[in-house]
Amino acid sequence: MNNFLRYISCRGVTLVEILVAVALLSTVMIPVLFSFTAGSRGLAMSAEDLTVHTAAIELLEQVMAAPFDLVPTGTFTNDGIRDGQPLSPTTPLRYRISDVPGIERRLEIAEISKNGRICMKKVTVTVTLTSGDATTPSRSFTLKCLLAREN
Amino acid sequence: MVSRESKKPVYTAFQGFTFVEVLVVIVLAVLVIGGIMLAFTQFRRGFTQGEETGITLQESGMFLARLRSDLINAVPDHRLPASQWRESVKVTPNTLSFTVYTGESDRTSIVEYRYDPGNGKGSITRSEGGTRARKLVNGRIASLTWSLGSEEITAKGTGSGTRRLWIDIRARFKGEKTAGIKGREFVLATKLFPARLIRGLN
Repeated sequence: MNNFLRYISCRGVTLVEILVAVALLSTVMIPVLFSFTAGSRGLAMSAEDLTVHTAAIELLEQVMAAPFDLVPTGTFTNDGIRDGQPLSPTTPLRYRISDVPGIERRLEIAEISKNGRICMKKVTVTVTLTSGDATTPSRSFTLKCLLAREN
Repeated sequence: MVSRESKKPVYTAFQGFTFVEVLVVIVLAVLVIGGIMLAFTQFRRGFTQGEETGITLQESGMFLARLRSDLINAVPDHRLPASQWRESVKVTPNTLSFTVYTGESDRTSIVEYRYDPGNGKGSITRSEGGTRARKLVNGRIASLTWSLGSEEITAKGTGSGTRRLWIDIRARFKGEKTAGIKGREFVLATKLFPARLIRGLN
C-alpha cells in the first residue's frame, strides 16, 4: 500500500489527462476571447452608428430648415442625393451633403392633407451602411420628422 | 535506497531532480509564463485602445450634440444690418461663435467654440457669455476644419429670397492617452443647419 501511494505520487501525468486539462482550459478561455472580440466589434459599430446618425441628421436638418413650399415631395435615392444637386427639378433648393464613404442615403417626402389643404410634410431619411463585408448584414438608420406649414 | 519488501530500488519523493529535469521545467515555465505575459500585455493594450476609442467617441458625440443643441437655440444678431446676415455666425480657423437665446435669463448671449490644435492633440472648449468655459474634447482631435456656407436663392412666394447658412465641419479624431497606444481613428464630416436662425433670417 505504501509503495502504491508512492507510485501514485510519482507517476506523472498521462497524455489523456493533459488533453482533458487543455480542453477544459480552452472551454474556459474561448468565451473570454470572444467577449473581447465582441467588445472591439461593439466599439467599431458605435463609430459607424455615430457616422450614420450624423449623416441622417445632416440631410433631415436641411430639409426641415427649408421653406415649406420649396420642399418637394417624392422619393429620392442615393444617386440623386449629391452635394450641389437640386432636390428636384421643381425647386431651387440644392443638397448640401458632406462626403462620407460607405453609406447610402434615401429621402422620402410625403404630403399630409387635412380638409383638402396640405398642412404637413412627412420627411423620412434612411441611411444605410454599405461598408460591411458579406458576412455581416448591412445596417440602416431611419429618422422621421413632420414639417408643418406655418402660414 | 533499497526497499526491504521488494529488494528492488524504489524512487521516492526525496530523490531530487536531475539537471535535465530542472532545465526542462525551467524551459516549460518560461514558455508558459512568457505566453501568459504576452497574452496579458496584448489584452491590456487592446483594453487601453478600446477605452481610448470609447472616450474619443463619447467626447466627439458630446461635442456634436452640444453644438447642435446650441444651434437649435441660435438667433439672428439684431445689431447687424440686414445685408450682413451672413455674419450671424462668425467663423475663424480656431473659433466659432453665434448668438443664442438663453431660457434661464430670458435674453441672448454669445456662445463661442474654441479649437486649440495642440500639435496634433487638439481640444475644443465651449464658453457662453465669455464665461463658464468647458472643455468638450480633451486632446483627441488630430485635425479639424470648420467653415461657414451660405446661399441666397430667389424663389416664387419668398419676396426677399431664401437665405440659408450652415456650418461645415470636418474633424479627424484620434485618442492617445498612453504614449504609443492610440485609439481607433475616425473622421466626422457633416454640415449643421441652424433651422431657427435660418427662419429668423428669412
